[in-house]
Amino acid sequence: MAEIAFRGVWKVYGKSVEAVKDMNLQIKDGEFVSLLGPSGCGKSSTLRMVAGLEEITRGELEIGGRRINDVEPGDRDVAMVFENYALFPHMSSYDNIAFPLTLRGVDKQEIRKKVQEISKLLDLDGLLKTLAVSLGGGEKQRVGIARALIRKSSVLLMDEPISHLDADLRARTRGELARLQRVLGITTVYVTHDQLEALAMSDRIAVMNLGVVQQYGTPGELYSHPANMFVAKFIGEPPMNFIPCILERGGSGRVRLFTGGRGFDIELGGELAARIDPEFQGGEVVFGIRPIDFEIAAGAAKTAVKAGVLNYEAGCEHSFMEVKVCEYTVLVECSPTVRFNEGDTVALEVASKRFHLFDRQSEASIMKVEAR
Amino acid sequence: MGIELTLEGITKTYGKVTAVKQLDFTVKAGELFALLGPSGAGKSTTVNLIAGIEKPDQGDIKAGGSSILDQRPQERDFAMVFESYALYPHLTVAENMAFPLRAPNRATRYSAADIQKRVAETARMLEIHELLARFPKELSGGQKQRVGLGRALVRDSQLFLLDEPIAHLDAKLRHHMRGELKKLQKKSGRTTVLATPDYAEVVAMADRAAVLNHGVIEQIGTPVELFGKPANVVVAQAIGDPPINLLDCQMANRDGCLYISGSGFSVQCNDRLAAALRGLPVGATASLGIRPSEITIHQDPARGLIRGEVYVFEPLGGEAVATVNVEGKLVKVLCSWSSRLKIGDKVSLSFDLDTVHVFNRDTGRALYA
Repeated sequence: MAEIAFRGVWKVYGKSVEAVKDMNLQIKDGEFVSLLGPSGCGKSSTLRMVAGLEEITRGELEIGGRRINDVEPGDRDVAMVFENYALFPHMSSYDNIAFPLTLRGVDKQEIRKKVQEISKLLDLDGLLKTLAVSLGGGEKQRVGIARALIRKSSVLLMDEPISHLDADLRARTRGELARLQRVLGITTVYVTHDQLEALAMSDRIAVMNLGVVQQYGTPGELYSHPANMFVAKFIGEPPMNFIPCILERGGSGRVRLFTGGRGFDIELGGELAARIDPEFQGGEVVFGIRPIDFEIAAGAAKTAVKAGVLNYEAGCEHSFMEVKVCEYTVLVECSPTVRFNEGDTVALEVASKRFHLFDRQSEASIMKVEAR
Repeated sequence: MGIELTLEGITKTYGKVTAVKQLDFTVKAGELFALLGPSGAGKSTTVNLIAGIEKPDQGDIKAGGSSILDQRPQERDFAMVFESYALYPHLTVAENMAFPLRAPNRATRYSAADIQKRVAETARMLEIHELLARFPKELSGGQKQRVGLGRALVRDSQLFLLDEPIAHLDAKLRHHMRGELKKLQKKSGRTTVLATPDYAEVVAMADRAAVLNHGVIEQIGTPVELFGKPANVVVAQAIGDPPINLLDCQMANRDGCLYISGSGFSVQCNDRLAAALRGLPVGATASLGIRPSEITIHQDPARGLIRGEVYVFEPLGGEAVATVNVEGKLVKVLCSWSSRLKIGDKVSLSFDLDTVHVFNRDTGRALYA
């Protein structure tokens, strides 16, 4: 069993550079968890603390129920794959993969058996004699992973392992890696700045910013119910549109959302209004909607806004248009079969699918948790 | 107004390596023409040949009907944007942008007031008007790229050469710039050649495009033609994400009907498909191309035309990519996130024969599109 638990973990460099602040995270046995965030958010520091490459400033870190703050990296039962692979260039794939066992003086027959086992799994059978220097990017990656896995550690740590592969290979390796992890069932912590990668591969994602976990949840929770504007902006591409506006509560549970300028003034009733946290009385908010969540409105619905088309961008699978709502430029994804032109006015239904509301001051979501 | 540009039998080799071979195409006056291909396809070589930075080994390049091969780059006076920005580090954004207007040996002279006006207008369009006093080292990659664009757009050139001009921008800005660039190009009517590896950019911006592969043009057409009627496998694979699935298939005659079948599936051809494939000998292997967006995935293994097992399921926000193992061949399907498939789930796939493509497996040529 290898759950990982962070209990109030801090990483402070020098006297005051707080890279990771009071992290509390539970990673279940066999789970694939991504630490996602921009550079400098503390994700790599976190991973390095698990690996034992960084000291833990404060707090407790447990792997499989055992406190490992003071355990040597080699005794933590974790394996790590680095972005630059760190293979020995003039050793064959076989010798690279076997290295951790050779180092420990494991019996040669035993090593052979294990290398064959792992290389079959990673589809490396044909490449065992090839020198690392002659391998392609994706192949090097697989050899690096094979080497990490050969010791049968109970935790696998990966730091941006595929970020520098070109787009095609990255998409392929992403799928292969996600599948391999599920097949092996090894608890995995994966560091990336690429939200698409995190969504595609993870069971759960911890979105980090400035050393703090902003939200921890499944890809679906983060995408559909972002806890704050940072998560809302970071997850999803193209990113969510934001329109600052005023929320006013009216009679019989109705809610009005409007801006000072003309063009955005909608009323939410019944079910839609009930999605908003009743504790929030009213005031300055930010209305959030993803490009994909608009619909072109047919009639004059109370939740439709008029928008002027600035640009129309044709596409094969999706088309996009930039429209002006009040003074805001908003990106709308639409069906490639409907064409619009610059200067057209469209009515956009903004609440038919999913919308989000954030407190403008705190940037926290004011949607009800179950509705979020 | 833009000029017409023609490349006739252009070949360029570096030592033993042929960078581009027998390029023939005409960019109409005022058109936005894209060169689409992966790195190493010959896009940048073509752009450099048009700009005059490189000389072709064979062939001719004509602008407005007359050969420009003897003209040096500055005589051709085409505005060029590089992927690598190429900004002057010691000049501010405003000075970088004004630079081409101040260059001494241009045909047109610009007054100081005109220069300032042009720089201000272009900067506003590119949303860099607040950065005019900064130096390149104080800019992000995306900002530098826009300054590079601004420097080209600020003057009236007859031809624009854009080499991956918006590759480094983030998603939101990229959509914005595609729209803005296209609008600007249409408004000014300037002939534009755009080199890019990104098919979405081509579909969004180009009037027509040439698909380049290993220095050779595979097909020239509008984005709709290239997507809907690819001439061969290379073009089919160049457009669409995830790329088109290719499955080996054979023709079989049963009870007087023509069937297209492969490992895991056998589908009766419709009349149009049967007519297109009539020339193919029975038993010959062809390649069946189906786009991931044209496949429907069913959780009931008996419902679709092809049975398979989920190899991996990747939610990507709004949508998801399911990779399905069909007797050892991996097929990608674009589907709804809500299907939440698991590795090992038994599923089936269906597709409409009107949306598939069939290619000759040896030559790659399209038999049916």
